[in-house]
Amino acid sequence: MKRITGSLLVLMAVFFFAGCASAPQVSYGNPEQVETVTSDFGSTDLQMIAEKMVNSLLASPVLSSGARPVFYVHRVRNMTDEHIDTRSITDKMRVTLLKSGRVRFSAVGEVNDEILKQLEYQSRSGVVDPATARSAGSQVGADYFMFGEISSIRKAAGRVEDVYFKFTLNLVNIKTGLIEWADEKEIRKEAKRPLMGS
Amino acid sequence: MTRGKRVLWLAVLLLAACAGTAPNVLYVQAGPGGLSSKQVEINDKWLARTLSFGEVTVRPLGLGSSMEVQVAVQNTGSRNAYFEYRFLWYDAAGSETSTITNWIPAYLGSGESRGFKSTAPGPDAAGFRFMVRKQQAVTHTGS
Repeated sequence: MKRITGSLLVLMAVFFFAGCASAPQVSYGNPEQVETVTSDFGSTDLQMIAEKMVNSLLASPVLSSGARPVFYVHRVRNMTDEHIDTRSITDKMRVTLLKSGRVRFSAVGEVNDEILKQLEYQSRSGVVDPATARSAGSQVGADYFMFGEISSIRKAAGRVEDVYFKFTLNLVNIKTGLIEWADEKEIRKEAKRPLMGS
Repeated sequence: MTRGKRVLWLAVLLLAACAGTAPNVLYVQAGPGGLSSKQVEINDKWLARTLSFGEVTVRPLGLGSSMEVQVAVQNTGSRNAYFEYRFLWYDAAGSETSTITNWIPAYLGSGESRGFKSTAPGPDAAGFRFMVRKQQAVTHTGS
């Protein structure tokens, strides 16, 4: 009896100290791995969308002519019921497209205020050597801009949740106003809650 | 067979089933002019019984400075196949040039065949690897 009581006390002490260990377990993951922790929009969804859009754009006649057209990203509207940083999707696409060397991107849509401020500073402050000061009127005009939308349909019945995402991207020729390329990526995810637990 | 041995065998089988297996790889040397060589490396025999690599097609783009490729994959099994795939592109020196290298989940119904496409990331692309593997757990760390 004494031995059992002793063992129980040791076991309780182990649980007590284990409970006090408040540091979470952290490990680095591989960003290339497929992620399916929840049915919410995740890193794999972002990568799948970027992969499809970049492959489609690189294969489109717009980027196959040999000329390096100038793009800018207008916006991707988030029409889903969750917070999605759509900028991270377009950033991923922009990086990959730029690395292909077949397209250029204008920063005007995103940092135009800073560009104007810098041009003003360089030309009027008197601080910058006039020989190296950049003057206004030399920006390269964009040929195309991208706009798109991500939407979702979420349904749940019992322990099963079904989520459908649809990402659409369009490329508009600024000169003609025509949509010269468009593509979409559909993603469907199903989540089953366990019988026990949350 | 004793009970102990049976348990041991079961444990070995379970471990074998859970252990990560290297992907099956299709090595392709290609340019906008077409396919020059193709080689298959089977690391996962179980997966190879279900998914087989089919025809590889190369389509030159625009002025022929780039290309779009398609690899046909067929599910020859009697069950639906859930797997992951990825394309990795290389230049003539063998350096990896891909900017998107993530694994992509895919599905093929029994007997179904589908083409998986990728576009060369740049004009210096001289070949690619198309890799398929079983669905992996999400908690893997490191590469």
